[in-house]
Amino acid sequence: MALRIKNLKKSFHGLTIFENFDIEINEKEINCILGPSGVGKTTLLNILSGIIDADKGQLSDLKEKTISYIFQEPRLLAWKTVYGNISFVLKNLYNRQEIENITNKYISIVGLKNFKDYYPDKLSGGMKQRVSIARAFAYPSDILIMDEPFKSLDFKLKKSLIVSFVKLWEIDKRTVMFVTHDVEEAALLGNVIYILKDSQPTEIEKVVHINARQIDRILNPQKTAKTKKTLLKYLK
Amino acid sequence: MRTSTTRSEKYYILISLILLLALWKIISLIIDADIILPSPENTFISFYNLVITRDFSRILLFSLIRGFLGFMISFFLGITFGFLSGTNKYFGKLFEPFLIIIRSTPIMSIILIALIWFRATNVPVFASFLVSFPIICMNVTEGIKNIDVNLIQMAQVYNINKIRVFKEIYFPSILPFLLAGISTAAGIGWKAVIAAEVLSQPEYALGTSMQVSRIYLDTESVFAWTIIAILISFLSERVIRKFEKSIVKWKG
Repeated sequence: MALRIKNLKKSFHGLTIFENFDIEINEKEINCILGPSGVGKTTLLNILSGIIDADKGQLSDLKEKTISYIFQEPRLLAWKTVYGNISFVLKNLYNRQEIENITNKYISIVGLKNFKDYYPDKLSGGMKQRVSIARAFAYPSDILIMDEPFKSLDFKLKKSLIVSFVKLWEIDKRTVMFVTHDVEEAALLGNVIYILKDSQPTEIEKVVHINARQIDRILNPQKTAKTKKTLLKYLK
Repeated sequence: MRTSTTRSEKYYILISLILLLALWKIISLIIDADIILPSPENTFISFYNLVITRDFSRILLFSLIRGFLGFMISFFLGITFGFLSGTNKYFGKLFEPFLIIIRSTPIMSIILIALIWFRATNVPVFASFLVSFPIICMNVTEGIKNIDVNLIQMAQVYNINKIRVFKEIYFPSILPFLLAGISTAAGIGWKAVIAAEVLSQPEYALGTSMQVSRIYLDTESVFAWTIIAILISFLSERVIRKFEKSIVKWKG
């Protein structure tokens, strides 16, 4: 099963970013969009999530899909605790008991059980991003969008966040749209990797499929290195 | 850590108060004329005598009511207009010069004009309203401008309804600014109340009593009333701070 976007057109101030752009989003898989900055990756996500409208194009039944989002920055509410930030997105959907169960479950999975009542002010950058990941999974979405959530983090932190993410995704296989400019992230996470060409309008240069489980890729750096090489070749 | 800093802060306050009293006493000994600078002990005797008079509570109450009324009016109008200025660019631009004019008007001009327009007892209310309104208004506007659009976008993605976005994002974002405004406005408003009372002479008023004491060259009483005004200002500040701490607990 796949969600299809067809004939997408979008331009800003006379600058055409997408023209006749087609892409398939495979359900229950991590769809990775890899490309240099400035090729309209964020624009594509904004169209998918309904933050902005496309000029033209068939977005199949995307409009009815619920979406959760892991942004580049954690985007937490400073006046709510870890618990409060996650339950924030659940409030109108469940009863009190369910909210409590779901929130606690995701807090435990991302390893923040002891920080449940902390305000974001008191958390490290990595912890904050883990709250944001937990929030995205706690919300019952059809599509999970990730816009470079590991950008500007140091290597160790990135690795641990990716592990947290994969753990969650193994339990709860969402349809993921993951945007990145980082070949390593794409190689570790993507089931399908769309490599975008640095052109105007944006085109898909190559589609790469990887079947290996994400956990195995993390544990097997050599294999990942090979994939990285392939991706780099197309990305140039 | 927090308690230890406040404790040492308390010592500093105590020491500086003692120093102030000592300095006051020494200067009053040098001047040696109670009519110019009454000694601390005479001022405190006068303070005590004032507090036990029958009218004292009424004077205090009426002045406080005036201050409170002025404050409440500027509180509600300040939030309303501040909100409009912050959310509507055009309104904000049109309204800003008004605020600047009000803020630049000498407090005495406001009081004198109010004396022409209003009954004596309402002059202080008007004066305190007019000095505190721009402060609350501008702080609310500032708070709205400081709202992180990224958070609003996040709430939209997660389908949070408008009422909740207002309650859980707009309101907490503005709150620290509003509280800062309230605390400044209350302080300035209270001083305006007393100044206006001195000139408008309502029957029961702290400012009136101060002015009467001055006319009778009862300098001790002028000092005593001043201490009362300072204490009220200090107490209201404390109450606001307490309140602030209890609701803005995510900070610090």
